[in-house]
Amino acid sequence: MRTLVLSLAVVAISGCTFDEHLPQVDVRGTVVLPREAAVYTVVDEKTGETEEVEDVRAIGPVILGVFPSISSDDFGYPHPEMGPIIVDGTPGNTYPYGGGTVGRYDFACFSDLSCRIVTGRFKTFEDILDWYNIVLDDSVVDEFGQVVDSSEYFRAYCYELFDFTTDRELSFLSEYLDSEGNIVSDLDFQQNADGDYSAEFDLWQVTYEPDMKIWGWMDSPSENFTFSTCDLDRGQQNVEYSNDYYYGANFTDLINFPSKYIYDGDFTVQEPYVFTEPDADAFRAAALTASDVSVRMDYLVGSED
Amino acid sequence: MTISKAILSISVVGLTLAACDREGRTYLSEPNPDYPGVQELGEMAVSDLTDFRNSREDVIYYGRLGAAEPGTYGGATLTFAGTGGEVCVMVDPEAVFWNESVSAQSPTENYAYQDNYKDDGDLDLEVGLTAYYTGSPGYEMGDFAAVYEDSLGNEVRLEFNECYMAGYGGLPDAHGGRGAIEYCTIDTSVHPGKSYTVVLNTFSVPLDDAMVDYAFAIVEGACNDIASSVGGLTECTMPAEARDPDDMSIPYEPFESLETAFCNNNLFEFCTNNPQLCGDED
Repeated sequence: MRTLVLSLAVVAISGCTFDEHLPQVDVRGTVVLPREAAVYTVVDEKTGETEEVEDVRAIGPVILGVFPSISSDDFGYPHPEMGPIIVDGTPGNTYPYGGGTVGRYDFACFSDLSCRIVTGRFKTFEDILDWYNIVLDDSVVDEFGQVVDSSEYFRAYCYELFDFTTDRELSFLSEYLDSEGNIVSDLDFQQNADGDYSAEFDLWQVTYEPDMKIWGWMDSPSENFTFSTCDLDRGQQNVEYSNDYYYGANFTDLINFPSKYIYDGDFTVQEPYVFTEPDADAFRAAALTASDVSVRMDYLVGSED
Repeated sequence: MTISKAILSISVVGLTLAACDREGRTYLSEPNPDYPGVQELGEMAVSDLTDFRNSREDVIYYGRLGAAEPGTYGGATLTFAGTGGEVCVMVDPEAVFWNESVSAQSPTENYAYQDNYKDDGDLDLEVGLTAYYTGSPGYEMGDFAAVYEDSLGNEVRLEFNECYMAGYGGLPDAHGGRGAIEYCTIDTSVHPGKSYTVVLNTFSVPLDDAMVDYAFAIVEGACNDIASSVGGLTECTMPAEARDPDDMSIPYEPFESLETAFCNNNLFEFCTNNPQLCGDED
């Protein structure tokens, strides 16, 4: 009996090492944005004067995908190859192999901030209020139209809205106390020695094809600090008497139809990362680190004009 | 081996052998040379909503499909010209069916009888531009799919079927199910005047006669608008889909009465008087 049990245990343990040879791979890499991507031009509405502000909070959502090939022939800027155009006026589908983002839209409690807050960009409530109320001079207002100038009121409002009790439950905050009482700071982008900004990314379950390429873009904020990749009519709906609105969420076909959302001022990848391993097993065996899989998002859309 | 184990073994072998006696042939339908399993119906006109509302029997097409040859898909195809607006395509395969009421606390008298499942068929709708249809009308059924190969040789299936039906929870690509009406709105504004193909895929034919009768119509306007105009698109919207076995121009009387009873919420009385058209009473 003891021999049987031991044999079964060995068989069970060896089962944990079973390799399914899945054609999908998880990719961890690094995206690098030029310094200019973190520069936002603030316009003084009264005087018309402009001021350039370099700040990690000005970095928009970064959308990444994996595609068969990249070309500048279709739109004048680097863009994935497309399938057939089926509907007039709508570009062809890029049929990506996978994708992901660095930062996503998150709802920061007030409808005034719908589609204007990306995760991994703001540390604290004070950080958000400083950015909008002071730097941009575009104050955050609550549902009554009153300026939100107190971080404590901001926090209390959020806790009440979401039934939360700690800052770490709010994913739009990147600095908070963990369960041990330690300060955690996990902003996505860090400035490197060259003055550029880099962040790690994960692309889960990408269907592997040799010679496929990582491409993507950063959605730069508009003059009103809104983003073309976010839809104000999507996301969770808030219904509380007359305070009726959607939280806002990204469009669902961003990497299928990138050209619908890319405008002048956005940054795209010009030299995509190319997967050279012959198959998914070989890619896994290569055990590449995040720094091995690096893409630079340095093509400024509109600069070709 | 003890006696009890021996008896158990013999019983298992006996049951196994007895199971081989079950053929299931009664669940298969034989093709009928008079009503082919694959049919092409030609071009049909798109009806006006007013005509559909006021003289429905004049604009409904009544058809009959036989079972397809074994190993092949069956169904009917027809075409219509894009109007430049929305059109509603709908099909109601025979027959009426319902779920038997089994609640002990609040039984529904009207559904006390079982449905006769042997008289129900099912047709599934697909609609798309004729240019994308891959079948050979009247000979072989097809679909609206194409394959796109990207520059790395990866193949992607493209779907050009424009007939989307929402299921539970609003999920697309649903179907009406056995005996139930199916409908979808086709927006032809991008391709006015172009030929569209409607595919009625035979999902099942009734087991009692191996032929599925159906009512079909194409009406101008969105299905939601038509539903509002005629009080909903239901089993009762295109009545008398089961036709007389010998004369397609007239309804099949026993079924028409059953359907009328269903639509008038009077099933219990009808099934009591015509038990052969319903199943067993609960």
